[in-house]
Order: sequence, then structure tokens, then C-alpha cells
Amino acid sequence: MDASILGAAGEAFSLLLDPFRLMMLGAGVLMGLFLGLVPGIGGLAGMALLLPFTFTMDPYTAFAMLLGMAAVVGTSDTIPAVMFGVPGTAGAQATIMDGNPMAKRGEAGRALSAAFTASLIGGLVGALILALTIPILRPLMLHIGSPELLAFSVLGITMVAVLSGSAPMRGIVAAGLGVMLSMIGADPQTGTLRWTMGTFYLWDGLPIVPMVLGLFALPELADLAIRRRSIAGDSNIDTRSGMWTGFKDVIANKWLTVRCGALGAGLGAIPGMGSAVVDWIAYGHALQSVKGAGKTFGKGDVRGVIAPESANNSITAGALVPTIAFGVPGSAAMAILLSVFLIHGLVPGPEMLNDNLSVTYTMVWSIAIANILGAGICFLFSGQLAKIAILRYTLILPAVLTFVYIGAFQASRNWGDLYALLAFGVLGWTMKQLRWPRPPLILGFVLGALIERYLFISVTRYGLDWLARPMVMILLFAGFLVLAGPVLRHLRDHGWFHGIARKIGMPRFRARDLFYVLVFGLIAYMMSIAAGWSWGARVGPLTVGWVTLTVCALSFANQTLTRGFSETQSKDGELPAELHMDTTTDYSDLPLGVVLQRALAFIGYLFGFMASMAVIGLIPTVPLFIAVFMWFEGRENWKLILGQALVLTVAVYVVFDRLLGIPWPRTLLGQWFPHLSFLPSV
Amino acid sequence: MQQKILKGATLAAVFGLGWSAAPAQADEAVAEFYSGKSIEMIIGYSAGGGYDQYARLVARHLPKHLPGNPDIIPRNMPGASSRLAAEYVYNVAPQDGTVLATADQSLSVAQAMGDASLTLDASQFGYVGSPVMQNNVLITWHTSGIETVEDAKANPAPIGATGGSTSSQYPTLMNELIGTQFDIITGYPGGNDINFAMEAGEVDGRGSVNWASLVPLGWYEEGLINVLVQIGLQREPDLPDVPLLMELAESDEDERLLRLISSPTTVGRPVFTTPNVPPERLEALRAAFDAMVEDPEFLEAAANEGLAIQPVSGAELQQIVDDIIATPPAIAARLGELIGVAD
Repeated sequence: MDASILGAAGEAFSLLLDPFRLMMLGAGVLMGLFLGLVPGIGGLAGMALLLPFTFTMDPYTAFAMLLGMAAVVGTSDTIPAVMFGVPGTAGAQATIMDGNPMAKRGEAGRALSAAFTASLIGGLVGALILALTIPILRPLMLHIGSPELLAFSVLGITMVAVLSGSAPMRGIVAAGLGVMLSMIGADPQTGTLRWTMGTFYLWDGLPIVPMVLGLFALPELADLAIRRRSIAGDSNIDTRSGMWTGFKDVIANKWLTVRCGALGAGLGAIPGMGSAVVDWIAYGHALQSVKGAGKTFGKGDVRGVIAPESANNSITAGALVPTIAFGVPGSAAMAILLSVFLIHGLVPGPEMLNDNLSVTYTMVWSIAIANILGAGICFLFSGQLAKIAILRYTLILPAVLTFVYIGAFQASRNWGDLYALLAFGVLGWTMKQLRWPRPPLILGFVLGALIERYLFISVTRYGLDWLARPMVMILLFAGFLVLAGPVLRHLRDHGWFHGIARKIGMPRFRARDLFYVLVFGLIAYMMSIAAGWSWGARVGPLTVGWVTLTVCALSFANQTLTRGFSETQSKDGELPAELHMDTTTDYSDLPLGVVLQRALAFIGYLFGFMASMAVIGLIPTVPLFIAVFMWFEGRENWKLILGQALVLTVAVYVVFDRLLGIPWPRTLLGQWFPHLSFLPSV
Repeated sequence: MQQKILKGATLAAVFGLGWSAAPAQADEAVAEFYSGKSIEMIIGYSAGGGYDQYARLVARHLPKHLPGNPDIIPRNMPGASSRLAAEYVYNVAPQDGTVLATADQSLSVAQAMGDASLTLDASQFGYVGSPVMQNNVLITWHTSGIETVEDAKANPAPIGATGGSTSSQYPTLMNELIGTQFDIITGYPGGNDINFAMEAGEVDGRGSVNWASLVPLGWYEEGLINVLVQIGLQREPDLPDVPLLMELAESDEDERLLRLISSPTTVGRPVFTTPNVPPERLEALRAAFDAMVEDPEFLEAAANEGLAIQPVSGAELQQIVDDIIATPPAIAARLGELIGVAD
């Protein structure tokens, strides 16, 4: 690294020390922490929100504020993930796996503290990697074409094998379903509208926010409503001591933290590979590389919190790489950041690495400082936050559910978002109950789209020659290794093919097998529609469809044919060690009738919320819903009810109506009494 | 005879008076309507893009020139390349002049081609104006060896594109009608990705890019790109020697077809309101827009954001859209066949 670069880095640091810039950076950090906390809105909404304020600033200040915001979303999104099992952003899904069980055990303080420390280190690692690679960014990246991006995506999707636990075939089916769902919308190859069912809503594909919230948040909230207890139950709560333990956990696992930070930065640089999958890949990496992870992960192992949290904070730095070097946005939020470049007359590309090097380095410093500030603020409050785990569910549920609804709705500002949220909620809850792994669905959804895109480009551009590129070969081989390990282990555990053959007996069917039939039917139906499209539009869906159908049939056969064997075995008390890749809920202390009754009531509240939104609008629904829920479920006192209703309604109004400018759908009330339209969202 | 003239003069005087009195009254009515109200600006795209930037600029500066000075609140309603927003404005939004919108410049062409997904009639919108009109261009990288349309006829060249967008439509039409040999590589998610693929040598060129968005990169002055053809109704002042796409047509029929695909660039970043807005309010909106684009404060703000201003008035927009929709069905249908149309 030569002197001019060090000089630029030093100059950038002193530029940032200007009090106004630091203040704006701090404002960005506060905003980012807030957005991370609220489920469903994250860095992307934050960019859109803050962008207009930066028009009048100089570029250093503008970048400090925007990157300060984006950098810490991944710090605070841990809080709802750990406390409620509700991901604050898509990047906190994997944190739920171990963070939420820890909170239920009374270890929320430890989980939060480990997460913040890991976020801090991950964020700094990302900034450092960016700082060190800036001089070589462009030549490095010019060697990365569509075939290499394809190989990276393939490597990512091999993690499905790791993230499926003991159910690899069900994992592949879930991933296949995810890939099929990712192909909904206008395809970038031919422009064909795939499976849009005649609605504009699906033209741009299913948005990921309602999907993530439906798959992961709603099932957890349903459990909370069914169990009717505080999150931590009757466990003791650690606060001070837990925080210190969590900090020491990260120090004890420093290399895991650093590795995952580097992983996050590297993957974040790939356009389209956002935090929704990077956290899972880091989690999968930890699962493979940490000793004994197979036994403890998913049950509240702090290392399962450290890995994704470290990775999702370094993504911002990674995503900046293609943005700065070539003007290719590394993520959707970076696409908005690009317009800041243009507004300030900066051109992404060589200039950013020569003449404007100091601007580039202020970005690096902004990310580093923001991570320190963000983690520090979260630390200050984590002792208090951990106590949320002992609050009654009637205080927590209405607030979190309200934000889940609005967070999902702001994804594309359409009723479709809420239908998608509910549909994925049902799917997620069913998968959780039937022990189908949910992570592969998300992996397939995000990576499937990338794989189809880059495979199509690679083949039309290079024929089969792309396979011979050295980096492609290395990456595909690495993918093979990731895949081979779990597959071989699985076969070995079942006594190779001979052992498996021994277990086959007469098929036995259970009601739960119906889920196979549903998945099979859905995929077959989608394929029957796809058969009518032009070659470029149908080749991807049909290939994935056939593979998924085959594996679905195999898995079904495996389940029904070996059921006789495994049921006798479990009767004899020989339960094989199972790695279930998901959080589990145990209702065994509740009678089935009560569970069903409470589940129905919960669904009733979900539909009630939407019905009320259609009639009187979303914002008036907020206080109504909170009051109804708190009164009928918990007979809370009215002071508390009115207080919470008022505070939340004002918060929702300010954030979503005034700041984010969400266009509300028309309501019946507004149509009947047009004079009431002065009320927000009516 | 003289009487007739006199009569005419009287009539003219009466009308003249009427003419001068009516606007004042209308202005008052409009001011009364708008004062204390707020107007929504529905943006058919997500924040940060070109349509969004221009719409927000207009939202900030139009109120000053509008009787009653209402606030204009921008609201992003992205989806289906802005069709979601356009259909909302056409079918759902209140038609009293309290809703403005911006959406895809190509909506009217899609309508002319018989796009089954559209229920709207783009000629029914009340066009307020566009702050800018800019041609699209088809470019190749300097190392590609393809410098002119003639080169592209003689040699095949991989061109980066996104399916269903102008970047695949222009080279497809050129292959069909002009005899170029572009090898169109579709699948790129956006223009920036194609730029990168071009720099990295994966493709030789990009099927379509807005000229204004290319200027700040400085690639043209540095000789890094060749501009083969520009798509619009008149040549860009910066590009006097680059042919327009429609000039390359080999028959009158082809010329009509290429004119149709070239018209939307003139529509620019259109700002419009719902159908059936009371005429005096539409007139007030148009007049405010025309005054705004002359306002030094507005021009300075645009310059600060790096946004070029080349205004098109509401009346002009209405005319262009009407012309597009009046294209003989046979020509529009043939265009639809060549480039594909949503059904």
C-alpha cells in the first residue's frame, strides 16, 4: 500500500471529524438502529427515506449519513430476532435459530451481547477488507464475469445440503419450491410474464419481505399466542452477567467471527446476493466448521448467533465494492446510493479509486465508525431489552404483529403483500410443525433467480466454454465438497445403501404425508402452465420442476416405506440422533383442543386486522386492533391499553405516512364518506 | 359589409373581454380549490431512479406556481414497470386534480400494440408536462471493432440486454428490419450490469441507454464507446452525426414502425393527472408547469442534482400520445409481433 493511499485514508478520516458530519453520521446510525428494530423495514427503506435530506449536503456528509444508517441495520435487527423470533430484517433470520431458544431459556442478555459484539467485529472486518482491497478492486473485478457469479451462486445453494439437517431430500424439495417461486414475474431473459395470475402485483416477482416475515415471524407469534406465556416462560433472566458472558463468547470464537465477517463482505459484493441468504450461508458454514455443532445448533448455541451476526454486518462494505468500482449496485439499497453519486457529480469507476479516493475512504470510515456507535448504543440498552422476555404476551403481541403487518405492506405497498404474508405464514407454520426445513426455501428463492440469470447469460454467450474458466472450476469443486460431506455422512449413518434397503418395508401412511401431495401438486401445476412458454422462459422452471418432483417423490417413498422400521425402532427406545434444522415448539403440556382453539383465535385476529384495514384503513386499525387484543386476551387495564395504542399509532403515522410516504389503499369508509379522507390512510 | 365587420369587431371585443375575465375567475376558483389541500404525486417506480428524481424535483417546485399553493407529497408506488401506478391513477384515484403521477413513457406504445394487460387509455390522462426529453442510444465498447451500423451488418456482435425492455427491443428490430447481426444476450437485470459486462469484455455493447445518463460517465468524450444509432424523433444536439433509428428504415412502412418505437423518448418523464379533471384545473397545472420550467430557482435545483432540463409542455405531450395511439393497427400489430407484447 503506497503513501498516497495512506494519505487519502488519513485525509478521509480528518474530513469525517467535522462536527456536522459526525452528527449526521450519528443521525444515520440512530435511524438505522430504529429501522432494524422494526420488522420488515431495513436499509432499503432507510435509503429511500433519507435520500431527499442528502440533496443539500456535501458528498462526505451524505455518504456518512446513508452508510451510517445502512451499516447498523444488521446490528439492531437482532433484537426482535432474539426476543420474539421475528427477524428485524431478512438478514436476521438465521439469528433466530439459536438466539430465540437462548431467550426462551432466560439467556437473552448473553445472546444479545454476543450478537452485538459479533456485529461490531464483523462490521469492522468488512470495512477493513474494503479499505485494503480498494487499490486492486477494478482489475480484480474485471476477471469476474457472469460464469463466475454463477459459480458463486451454485456454491451458495449447496449450503442447502448443510441447512437441511437430517432431512436432505425435504431440504431439496423446499429449495426447489423456493427456486420456482423466485421465477414468478417478468423474466429477464424473454420478458415473459411467468405465473403472474393476471395481477400486476406479481410482475416484479414475489417480494422477499412478506415471505420472510410470513415464514419466520408469524409462526413464532402464533406460538406465543397459543402458549400464552411470556417469551422466557418462568426461566431466570440474566442481564449483567449474561452480557459479560456473551462478550467472552465472541472472544473465545474470534476466528469464527472474523471468518464470517470476511464471508459476509465477499458474498455481499455479488449483486443480488443480499443479507437474506448471506446469514444462512454463514450459519451453514458455522454448522460445518464448529466442533459438535450438529448436536447443539438450533437449540441455543451462542456460536449459531455469532456467525450470522458477524456476516450480516459486513455485507454493507461488500456491497459497496461493485458500486464504487463499476457503478453496479451490490444490493437494492446500493442502487439508491448510486443516485447520490450522480447528484454530487461523482462517477463510480476509476475516478473513485484515483481522484476521489478520499471520498471512497470516507465511506470506509463511515462504516467503521457507525458499527462502533451502533453496537455501543445497543449494548447500553441490551440489559433493559433483555427484560422484554418476561413481559406478558398481551403486551408484546399486538405491537409486534402490527409492525409485521405494516412492514410487510410497505414492501410493495399492495394488498398482495398481506396475502403473501398470510400464505407464507401458513406455509411456514405447517413446515415448522411437520419438521420440514425452512432455510432452504429462502436459499432457493434468492439464489435460484441468480442461477437462472447467470446460467442463461453464460450459456448464450459462451456455450459450454464457461465451464473451463479456472475460477469457475475451483468454485464448483468447492461446492461439490460442501455437498459431499453431509450426503456421505447421511448415507453412512443409515448404513450405506445396504442399510437403507434393510429398512424398507410396507408403506405406512400418515395424515402429515398430505403435505407431500400438496407440494407435488403445486409444482406439477406450475409446470403445466410453464409448458406453454417460449424456450428461454420455460427451460429454467421445467428443469427445476422435474428435479423437485423427482426428489419429492423419492422423499415421500422414503418416509412411507421406512416408517414401519423407524416406528418399531422408536418403540424400542433406539432414537437415532436427529439434527432438526429449525426451532421447535412443544405444546405437549396443552390439550389439543386448547391448541386448536387458540390457533383459530390467532388466525381470527390476523383476518380481523385485514378486514378492518379494508374498511377503515390501516392507521385507524392500529389502535382498534391493540385495544381489542389487549382487552379480550388479557383484560389489561385501560390506561395501559390507551397508552400503548396512542404511542404506536403516532409512531406508525409519523414513520409510514409522513416519512416513508406510503400510498395507502382505498378503504370502504373513504368511499362511503369521502369527507373522512382527511384522516390518514382512510 | 361594413356592418358585418363591425358586428364581427363587437363580437371579438365581447369575446376578448370574456377571454380576459374568464381566466381570472378560473384562477380564483382553482386557488380556492387547491388552497389548504395537498396533492399526491404517485411515482410508478422505487426511490432513486430517473423517474423518481424528476418527479420529486417537480413536486418541490410546482406548488409555488400553482394557484392556492398546495403541498405536493411524493409517494412511490412501484410495480410492473409502473403499470400498477398508472392503472391506479386511471381507475382508482380521485379525479379532481389532487393526484399527479409519473409512469413509463412507453405506456401509449404498449397500448397501441394491443397490450392485453392494460385497461387504461393513455390518451385520457391529463398531461401536465415533462421536464425532459432525451433520446436513447445503442452503444458499443471501443474495443469491439463495431463502430457503425455498417460494421454491425458485416460482423456479429454480442449485445447485452434485459428481456422485454428497450435494450432487447432496439437490437431485435435492427436485426429484423435493417440487417444487423447483433447477438442479443438477454438476462442482465439492469443497465449498470450491462455496462460492467461491456467493460469486462463479456458483451460488445448495450442495446439501449438513455443518452443523458451516459453523459456524466464521460465515456463518449474519452472515446471509450461508439454511439451507433439514436432513438428519438430528432437528433440530440450533442450527437449531430449519429443517425436516428427511423432514418435507417428501408421502406415507408418500416419508417412508420420505427417512428412508433422512437416516439416514447419524446414523452420523457411525463407528469400527468387522472382523466376527467375539471379543465380549468388541468389548465392551471399546465400553466404552472410551464412557468416552473422557466423559473431560475427550479433550473438551479435541477443543475445541482445533475438533472438535464429540456421541457415538453402538457399540450405537446397530449399530441404525441394521441399520435402514437392513432398509429394504423396493422403497423402497431407488426411491431408487437416483432418485439413481443404482454398478453
